[in-house]
Amino acid sequence: MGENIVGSLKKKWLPVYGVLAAATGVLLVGLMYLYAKTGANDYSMAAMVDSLFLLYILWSIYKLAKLEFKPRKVVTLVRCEKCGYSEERDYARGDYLFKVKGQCPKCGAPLLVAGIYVKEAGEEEPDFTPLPLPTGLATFITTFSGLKRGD
Amino acid sequence: MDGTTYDLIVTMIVLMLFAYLSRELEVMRAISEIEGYLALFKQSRDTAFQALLRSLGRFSSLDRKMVEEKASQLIEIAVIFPVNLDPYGIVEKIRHVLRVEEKEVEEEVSSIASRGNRVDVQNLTNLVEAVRALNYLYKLVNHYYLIARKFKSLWLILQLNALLPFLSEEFKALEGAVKAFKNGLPIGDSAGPYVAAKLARILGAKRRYEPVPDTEVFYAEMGGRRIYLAKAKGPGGTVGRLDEALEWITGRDDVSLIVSVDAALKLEGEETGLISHGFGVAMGGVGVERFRIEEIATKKKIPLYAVLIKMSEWEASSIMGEKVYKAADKAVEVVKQVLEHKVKPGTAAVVLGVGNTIGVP
Repeated sequence: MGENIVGSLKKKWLPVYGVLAAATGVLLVGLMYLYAKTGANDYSMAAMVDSLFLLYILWSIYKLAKLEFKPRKVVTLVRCEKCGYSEERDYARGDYLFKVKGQCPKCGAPLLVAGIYVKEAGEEEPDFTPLPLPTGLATFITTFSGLKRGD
Repeated sequence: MDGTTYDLIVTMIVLMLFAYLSRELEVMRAISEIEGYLALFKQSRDTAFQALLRSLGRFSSLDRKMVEEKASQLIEIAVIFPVNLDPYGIVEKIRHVLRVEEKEVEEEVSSIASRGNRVDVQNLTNLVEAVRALNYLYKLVNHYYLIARKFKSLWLILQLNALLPFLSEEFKALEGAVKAFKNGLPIGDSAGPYVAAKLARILGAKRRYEPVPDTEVFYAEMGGRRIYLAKAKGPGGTVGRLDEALEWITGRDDVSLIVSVDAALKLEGEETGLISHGFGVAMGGVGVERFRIEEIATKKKIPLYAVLIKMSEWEASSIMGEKVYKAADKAVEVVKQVLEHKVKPGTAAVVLGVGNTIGVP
């Protein structure tokens, strides 16, 4: 998922979940206060249902906050066949394996492209599952805003 | 009716209601999950199609509408496999159908991307194939979803729901392939051709032949052994015709061993880049080429040895990862050791670098 997409997703949904969590929290405190004051079981039952809802919202916030952008950087590994000097450079369009790319800074022999690959840090497989939002919301978002994981 | 009977009836009705609601909720959850995945699959297909249009447009002199129209036709192409009621000779029939499809699609892509060179056309053809697969998969999932909804079939919905993780693996792999083919970068599956190309370089290959289309054969010597290294001709995306190349090699020299190197699907829990040895031909795909290689080897009694580089489906189709690259480098040494130990000096061996050679010249 691209950095800007993760950012916009968090910016859009964290406040919504925050407000929901706050409202549910206030309601829970209120219900517990009423239960303490009156001792009526109805309030305790409502408080239990409300706390379940609050837990669900908090879990969603946690999942959303955990979403992060993992850059997938493609690098070109150049190596000197004479002295073994090697260096990773940013991939440039037109690079291909065994292409001569400059001179070795150590011995002056030609540097060859020995490999083109994605760096380890960004190699993790993208998570191709719907967003961690309530399923109806996830469908709505993925359909209308073009957001998804693994982008 | 006394109170006890009344309570019992009410309890039973409530229990039945809960049982019914529980099933309805389960179906709703499954449907909602399928819809979520379907939205992702659709978006994945559309994004890939837009990427294809941009790539074709870069090399095309046609207007955008025309490119879009032709690209839409390309991704709807279907391959009809021969009738297998009488399986005799079916491999040759499949081979013929696939060759025709390969040639026609490439010609069509070439006519759209008229400003592109051969490598561009090969990469675009690969891109078309990836988008075509994405399109087909999306349509298939959508078809089963709509059928399940139409007939309100709980079992169809649950079956489709159970298949979603596997389908999303497929989509993930194809999405990775689109990114790689768009930029002409080596993919995990290029590990086989990479090993062959690097070995040819290390051994200082003396001669290079192109006996069959899209395929090259290097001839090198290693401690008195005659080594033929066959791979698809890069750096355009193609898998070549290794079976025909092998036929050509065995027709001119007495081969004592065939070593095939390919990317192999790892099982969950297995480490990416693990190198394993095997007997037989390491080669995926429909099986036409593998069949012919096995036939040649069996006829001439040549042992078949395989070196497999383990990776996931996503890693095999996406831009080559660091782990896979390092494993491919290690595989070069493994193949060298195999040749040293299993091929006697004075005899010949063939190394087949199996896989898509995109990004590997």
